[in-house]
Amino acid sequence: MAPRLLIIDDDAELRELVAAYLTGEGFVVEGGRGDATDVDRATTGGYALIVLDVMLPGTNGFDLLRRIRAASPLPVLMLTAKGDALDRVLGLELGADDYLPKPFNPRELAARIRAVLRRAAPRGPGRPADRLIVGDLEIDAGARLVTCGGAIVNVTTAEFDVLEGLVRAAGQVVSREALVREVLGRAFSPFDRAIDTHISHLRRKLGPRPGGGDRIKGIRGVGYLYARPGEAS
Amino acid sequence: MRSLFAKIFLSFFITVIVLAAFLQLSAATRSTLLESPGVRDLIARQAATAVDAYVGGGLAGLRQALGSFPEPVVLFDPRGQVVGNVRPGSESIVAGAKALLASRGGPPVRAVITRDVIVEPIVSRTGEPYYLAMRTPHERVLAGLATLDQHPVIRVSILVCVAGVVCFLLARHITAPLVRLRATAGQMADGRLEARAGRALTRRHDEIGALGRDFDQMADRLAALVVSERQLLTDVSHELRSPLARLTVAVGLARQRVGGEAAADFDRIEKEVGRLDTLIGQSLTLARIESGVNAGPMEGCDLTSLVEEIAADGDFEARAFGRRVVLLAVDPCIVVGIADLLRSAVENVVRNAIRYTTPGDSVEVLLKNEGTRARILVRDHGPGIPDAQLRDVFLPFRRVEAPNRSRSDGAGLGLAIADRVVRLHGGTITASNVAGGGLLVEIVLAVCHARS
Repeated sequence: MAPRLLIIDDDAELRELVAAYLTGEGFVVEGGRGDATDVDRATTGGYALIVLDVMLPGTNGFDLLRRIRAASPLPVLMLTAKGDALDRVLGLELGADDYLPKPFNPRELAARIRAVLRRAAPRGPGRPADRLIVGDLEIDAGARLVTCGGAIVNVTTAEFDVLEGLVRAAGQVVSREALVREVLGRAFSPFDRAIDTHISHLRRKLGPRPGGGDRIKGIRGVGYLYARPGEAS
Repeated sequence: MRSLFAKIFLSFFITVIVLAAFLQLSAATRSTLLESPGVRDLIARQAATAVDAYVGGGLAGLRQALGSFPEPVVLFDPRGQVVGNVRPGSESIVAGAKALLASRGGPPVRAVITRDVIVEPIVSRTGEPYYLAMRTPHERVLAGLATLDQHPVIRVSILVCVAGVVCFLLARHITAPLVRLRATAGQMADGRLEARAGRALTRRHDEIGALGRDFDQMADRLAALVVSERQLLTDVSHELRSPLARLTVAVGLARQRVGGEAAADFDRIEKEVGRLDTLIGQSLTLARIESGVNAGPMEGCDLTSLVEEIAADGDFEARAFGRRVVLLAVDPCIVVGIADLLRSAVENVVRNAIRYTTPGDSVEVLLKNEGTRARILVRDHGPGIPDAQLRDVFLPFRRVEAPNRSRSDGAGLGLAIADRVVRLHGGTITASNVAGGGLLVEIVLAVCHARS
């Protein structure tokens, strides 16, 4: 069954073009202008993913994103103004799963949509090591749940995937390239700092190690490492 | 007092007057105050009344007369003996008067005044000389002043204290609001446009209050301008990019429908769209830097990891074109700046170097900490540029035409952005040709020592 997508953008012409392209790529696409009714549509319409332009005039796109997130864990891919780091960070903070700066290549959009859908899809049974435990951190890969010191930590889909990737290789350095390629499921582009944004959010949400020191260490010019308990900080 | 001028003028004026009066007073109290006609008259009248009462009414008359005086007095007869009994409380008067008469070696002809007593001679109706003695009025104040007269150290100390307190209050009154105003200006410079001088300052009625009101007005206007400029930049960005966004999707759609036949043409269109997009992005970045809009907070930036990351990313990008980016050495180094801008400055320089390096060769990057200055060196292995045009490379859209220097893919704003960012941080950026070929771009920034 073809995944149904909802594209929310105030630019009707762009919406039509994108819809035509994505239809050609095998998706079922509907469009919305970004009014208040779109929140209901998005959360109850049975869509597989929302493409949301956060630069909507009038009703703020971030507002829409916040309301969609409050109502459902539906994957959201946001379109941002290029180079506006603040928009990007805010969007990821509010729970967007990925972002694409405008203007975007439609092939890239289709690839990102597939990557997000793949990550958001419920995992099949029999997957090895569904529960990962390192120190006081526990990750339930099946339920996509993170608990730290017994308390549930609220993480976005992308943050969960990054953390899972790091924890699976706990004690080893995972390169930024590998994180982007394998965890976020898209081509690595240098000078793209999205992965660093996710890491900094994870650091803030998880806090320091019980004994002090960073849980996630940055290895300059290489990548990141989730420290095993007992390792020197 | 409405004006600062008046405050300063009056403060100093009053201080000087008060201090001068104080000096005059302490030196000349005894003579001037006590010899004033009022005091003399009072004593003379009391003396006459007492002697008349004694001569006319004897001891009983004297007692009655003395009882009517506000201050205790003692009457001496011509032989220097106290008339009647010495009343309690008057012993000191008797002692003082006797000491005075003894020291002068005889009866005084005119009134004599000391620190303790006043002795007034009076001749009775019968022609006999009597003396009336009383305590010197305001004994304590005068005694204190007389003491001061004898101790210059105390006098000077009091002067210093009074002058110090007045001047301190005045100085604080003037400088405290200026300090506040300066802090507000600093906050605004840091990009906190909502900072204002505050009510305490603006409701003053003096020149500083006026300055505060003008400052706040200026801040309002500045904030409005910045907000509108920011809005304009956002609008321009949005309006220019919307057609570009549609164009890219349309190309993608056409590619999807037509397939591989026109792939090369579609590639070309996408490339040009990409250039336009880069150009818009860089123009907006340049406009933002020049207008100071959206400049983030100045904070400690780890230049070391910044350079390392850029070198690693640059290397990744360069390998795709058969070139390398090599990090020769990096010193630990912290500078104060806007991290995003510094990153884009160094990134632009490195990307420019990658572009001009001969395939198969590499770009060399070096970060040196020279104590007070950080030096970032980026050297390419390319054709270099004519010496006469070395300065021009930092001008917007100034592509240097030189033999072996192919038409670049850049929008021509990368080095201009780097130049603006470095200057915004108070640093310098220069380009020079290296012996042996290639261009060397050198960025010098001040190192921050405040934080370890």
